[in-house]
Amino acid sequence: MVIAGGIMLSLYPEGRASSSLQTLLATVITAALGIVLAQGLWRLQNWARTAVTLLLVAVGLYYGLTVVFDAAAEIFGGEQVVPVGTILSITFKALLRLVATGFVPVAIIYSLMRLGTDFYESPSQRAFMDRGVRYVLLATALSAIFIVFLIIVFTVLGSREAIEKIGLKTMLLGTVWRPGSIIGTEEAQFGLIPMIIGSILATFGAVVLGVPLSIGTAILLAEVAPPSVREIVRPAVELLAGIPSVVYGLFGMVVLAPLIRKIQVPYNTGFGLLNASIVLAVMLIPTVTNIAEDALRAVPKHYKEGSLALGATHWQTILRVLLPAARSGLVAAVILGIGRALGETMAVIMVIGNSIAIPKPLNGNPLTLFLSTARTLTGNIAVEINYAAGVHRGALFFTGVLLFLMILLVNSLARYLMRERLPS
Amino acid sequence: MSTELSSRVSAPPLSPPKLGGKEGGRRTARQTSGNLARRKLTQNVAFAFVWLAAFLAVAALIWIIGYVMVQGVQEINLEFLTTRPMGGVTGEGGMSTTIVTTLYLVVLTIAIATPFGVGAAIYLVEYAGEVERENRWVSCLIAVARTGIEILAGVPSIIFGLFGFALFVVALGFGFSLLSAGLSGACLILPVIIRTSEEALLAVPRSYREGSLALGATKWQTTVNVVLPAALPGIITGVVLSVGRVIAETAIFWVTLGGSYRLPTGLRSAGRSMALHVYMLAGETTAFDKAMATAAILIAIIIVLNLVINYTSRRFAARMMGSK
Amino acid sequence: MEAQKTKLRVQDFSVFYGDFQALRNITIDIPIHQITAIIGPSGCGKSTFIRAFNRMNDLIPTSHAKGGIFMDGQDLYEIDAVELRKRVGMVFQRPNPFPKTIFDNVAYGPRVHGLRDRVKLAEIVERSLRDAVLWDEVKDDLGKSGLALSGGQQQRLCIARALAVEPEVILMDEPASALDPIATLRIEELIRTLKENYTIVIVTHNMQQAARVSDYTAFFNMEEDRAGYLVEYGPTKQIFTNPREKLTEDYITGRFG
Repeated sequence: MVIAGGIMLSLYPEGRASSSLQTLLATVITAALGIVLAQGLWRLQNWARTAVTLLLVAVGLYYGLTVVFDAAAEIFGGEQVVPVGTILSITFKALLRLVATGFVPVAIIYSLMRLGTDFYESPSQRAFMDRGVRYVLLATALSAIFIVFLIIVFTVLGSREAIEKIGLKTMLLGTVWRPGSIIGTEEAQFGLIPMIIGSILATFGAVVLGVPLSIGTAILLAEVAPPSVREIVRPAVELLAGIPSVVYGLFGMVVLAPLIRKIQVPYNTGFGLLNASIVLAVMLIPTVTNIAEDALRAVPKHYKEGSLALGATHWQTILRVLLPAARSGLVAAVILGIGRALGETMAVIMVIGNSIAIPKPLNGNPLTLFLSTARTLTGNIAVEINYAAGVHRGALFFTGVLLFLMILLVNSLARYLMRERLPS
Repeated sequence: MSTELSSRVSAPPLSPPKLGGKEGGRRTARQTSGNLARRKLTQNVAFAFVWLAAFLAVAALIWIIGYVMVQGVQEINLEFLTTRPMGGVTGEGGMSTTIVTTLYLVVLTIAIATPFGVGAAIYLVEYAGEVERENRWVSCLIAVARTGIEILAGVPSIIFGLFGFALFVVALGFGFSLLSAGLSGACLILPVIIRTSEEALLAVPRSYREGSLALGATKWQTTVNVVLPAALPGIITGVVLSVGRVIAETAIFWVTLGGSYRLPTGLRSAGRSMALHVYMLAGETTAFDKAMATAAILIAIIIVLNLVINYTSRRFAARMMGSK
Repeated sequence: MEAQKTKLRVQDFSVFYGDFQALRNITIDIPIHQITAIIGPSGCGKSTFIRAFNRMNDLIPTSHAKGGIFMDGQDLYEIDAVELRKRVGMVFQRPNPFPKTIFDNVAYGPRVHGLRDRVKLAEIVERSLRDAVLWDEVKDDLGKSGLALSGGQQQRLCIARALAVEPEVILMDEPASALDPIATLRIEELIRTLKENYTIVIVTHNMQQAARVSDYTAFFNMEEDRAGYLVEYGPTKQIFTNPREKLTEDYITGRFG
């Protein structure tokens, strides 16, 4: 029992207890727990064995992770280059350490498992476990709503100051965003219209460019392509989905911007709505294609067969029967794509210019609107949050609330459409 | 009879042989075979567009990945990997500390989110069904929970960042740290883990559960001994997916992790993840080559993760098929 | 036939799914160490009836029961369901071995009830596999996956699994309907050997099987409102050669169902 208590004590994280009274209290509690566990083990109770096993697993993991992290820190933390030889020796030493520290817990666990002979668990204990587990799991399930609740509370709370001091109308309808003038003479203004327009235009451009490509790809995957082609295209589309957004942004900065700059229009920097639209379009292809393909596949086979049996060509069948039948799923796909484009942050701020003026065409041609730089709602938050304070910060939180509501609306619409599809 | 049919069968040699059949000719009176050639032409044009669309999508992928990797690989060497970023406008130094920070971040978020996520999924699949009978209150709560999860799944990451900033960085006082970032990241991936775990659990055939219960096992024993092992590959797929998500994420960590390039020494240290490093290099320095290099490493990791996911989900499907 | 001691007594038993009545006022005595077959047209509640004995119906949220079932005098609905299933085992229509090794499949029951001694478990596994007439075919490779066996072997594995728990009653819900004729015959042989130590209740839609295998037969039918009820019950020989009810005779001779 004392040994168990001692083990407990050594595991207690140091450095937290400030006063000696606290340490004493902690020691007493852990010792008591240790004694209870040891007694349970002695009397060969199953719960004690499970508890000890879990504890040892946790301890083992903790020490294992420590070893890994220490090795990583050695290899990667450095100020100097670490030659390959050193890397190998560090890794080797780390592995040795792992085996050394891991050996004891693993051996104990192994012997506990082996000695399973007489560990007893009464039916009432089993029933208790059953019931207890149910409540624990319910708690985890509720954690999700708890988080949503917290998100709503905190973002709304954060924006309260802004709503009080600036006012909803000014923020939603104001056309100038100038949080704190460098000159210091003007009053701060927090109008979000430029950002709202920026978000809408960028999303619009992304949809115009990306949706036809996505639906086409979806049609290909669902109806037209032979399996061998499908094997290539589908993984490619899935891979597109996993690429970090900063990579898209980087690409937009380094490759797309110079290309766009080739368009001979004054003030065309290569950054702006066009660049953002292209980048966002590529980013939404995986989302829209995936759902559109599912929608097309979900159309009952007998529709297709009926059409073909009447002598229609494959394309006619797709155009006149499959696409209309999958309509709500397709619309849902587009709407989810819109949601994705609205919510994207990093890739957009890298290529859109982040200017705070309302985007305007650069010359007489209205299309050059897309060559203008702009800022989106998401970009607004990301770019300024690190140095914003007071009311300014509150305004940024309000932007967040606005964004949250917009995306909530968009997603609910999409979900409603997808659910409507199922009964048919 | 046959003369009527043959008058309709005035099609050019392109017509398919089956038009000789009985009803086929009469019912397609409107779409007379006369325009078959035209319809086939339209089809070929349309299909050409469809192929073009897919080709463009794949081409975009190849262009982006190819460009970044080709540009980036040039800069990758041992020095780059093992020395830390030095800061400054020219972006000197390597990316070593960012690798470690990303590692810590991944471990932290997965460690926090997985128990909650898998637990929630187990409850929703195994236990929630029976509750309706017992308790109005709780079943209402569960319906709300499901909606909550769906909402959470759609929230963009910057909002999670904002939330994490408000709650963990400011309100709870953790400051820009691994802790704040880890907790925020866990919230971000929670719906992913719940969804994939739910799917994996639902895919386990009911007959397994029935068989186990009929042998006198309790529900919990059934879950642990039969259902979970069978669903494990699917659950692991979800976890690996989340790892990919965490590695690729930037916005949420921009706002909760800070941007320090030093090696984090504890949960309260700030840091910089690899994706964040790409952003900061591109935005604040002129070292685009280093940004490319970091991005190349990121892409390589994501590709490897995707392969792992493909492998595990295929094994999962095979196991399920084999049991039917 | 001599009077048999009753193992399971069913008294005025009814089962409802929500408002729908699946079984109406069943009263029947199942004798110990005998094979009782339940026959009848599809949808007449045979499966519901047999599942009442190990309370698997409880898994369906809207189900509730009226009346009583007693095993050796104890009301089944007062015993803990989990404990009950240790005493009343079940074999399902489709073989459902777990995706585990043969050994782990058979050892699952005892393990779950708390037995961990490897030596004892191995004994139980061997005994159960012998009783299920599967031992000779698998004894060289108990580590093989249960799913790798043929259909008939899988079903015998499930029977071995049920036997390992040492139940008093074994319920079988159309145990051979998913199997080929040869495997079916082997299962029937197996069932006949089992009756020495266990009380067996078997649901079957195959009348010849009922006639071949069982000692007692109960004929269920469906009323207009789709509730199942007991038409006739008696020794198998009597039911098949000299039924009391016209309905029974019609069913036996294939005039309906």
